[in-house]
Amino acid sequence: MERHEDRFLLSAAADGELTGAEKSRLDAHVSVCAACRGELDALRALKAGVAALPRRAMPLSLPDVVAARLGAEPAPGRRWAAWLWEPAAWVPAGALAAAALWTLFAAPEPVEAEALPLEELMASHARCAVESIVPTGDLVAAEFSSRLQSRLEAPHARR
Amino acid sequence: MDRKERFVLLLREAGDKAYNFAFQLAGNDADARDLVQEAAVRAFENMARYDSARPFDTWMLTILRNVFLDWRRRARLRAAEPLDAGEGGLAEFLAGPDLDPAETALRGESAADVQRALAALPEHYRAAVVLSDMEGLRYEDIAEVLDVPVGTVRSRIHMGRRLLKKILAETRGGAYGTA
Ligand SMILES: [Zn+2]
Repeated sequence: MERHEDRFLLSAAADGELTGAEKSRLDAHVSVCAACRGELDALRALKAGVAALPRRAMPLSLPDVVAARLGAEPAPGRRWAAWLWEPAAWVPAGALAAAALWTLFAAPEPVEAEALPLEELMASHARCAVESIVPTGDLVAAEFSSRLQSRLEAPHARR
Repeated sequence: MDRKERFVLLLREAGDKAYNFAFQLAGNDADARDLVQEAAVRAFENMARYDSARPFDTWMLTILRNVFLDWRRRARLRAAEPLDAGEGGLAEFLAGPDLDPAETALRGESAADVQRALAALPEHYRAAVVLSDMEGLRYEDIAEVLDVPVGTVRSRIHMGRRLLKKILAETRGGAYGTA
């Protein structure tokens, strides 16, 4: 077979995600096509390279931090969640709408974006990034700062 | 055991997977922690919608990515930060021939090289590759997390790997010259 198969099939083959028919077709092609065989090997090597990267483990304290937040009063939407969580409770549509409204009005007041100490936030984000194992230069430029962003999101959420 | 305690147990089990994914999305530990916390709170508030026939960790990863996209969308609106080129932004590169012998294998690149290249991938490719290769998810589950058809998962993983190869080849070019 001279014609190369759809290249997506090569990655799917490396992942063991081909259907039986696709696999037969690709096997037949790869057995006679050195280019596709080489590409398949390269994709497998790449997959192995990514799979071998050190994984980040969740900080042990994080579930406790979350648990504390769940217990805390101001998590917006908790009343809504409670309605949903107990299906046994009969909830008229009006009450659901009221609960939804409650979550809107119970949300904390947004911080004025203009009042934020932006430079300080930026600097602290840069420090966080430096501590990470990921090389920082390109990444910081390419990625957002969710830390900064989480301070800014409230005004948008209210639009 | 109340439902908060049950939820925290689930979170402990899914935690490393969620945290690693968050780290690969956000690029640093501080943001990864914030992401997981926010996703966990959102998951707890929406537990009534969780289908217990499905793995909890897949559901958690789905919420995590949605939180990430929400944050990023707002950041982009706010600051117009340079982010992904988008699905079409790399069209020119990706339309080119992909059987370049100079980049057909890893040649002793360090984990740091691979991590750097991965971090440089546009998010929609990076998420797919990380979920497949680091988290070990099947395409069907990746499709659920990314909320796209399985065919799109296929193309994103393949495009992501091609781009990874390209980035690594350029890294190597600096050190060894282009073969
Ligand atoms: Zn071929």
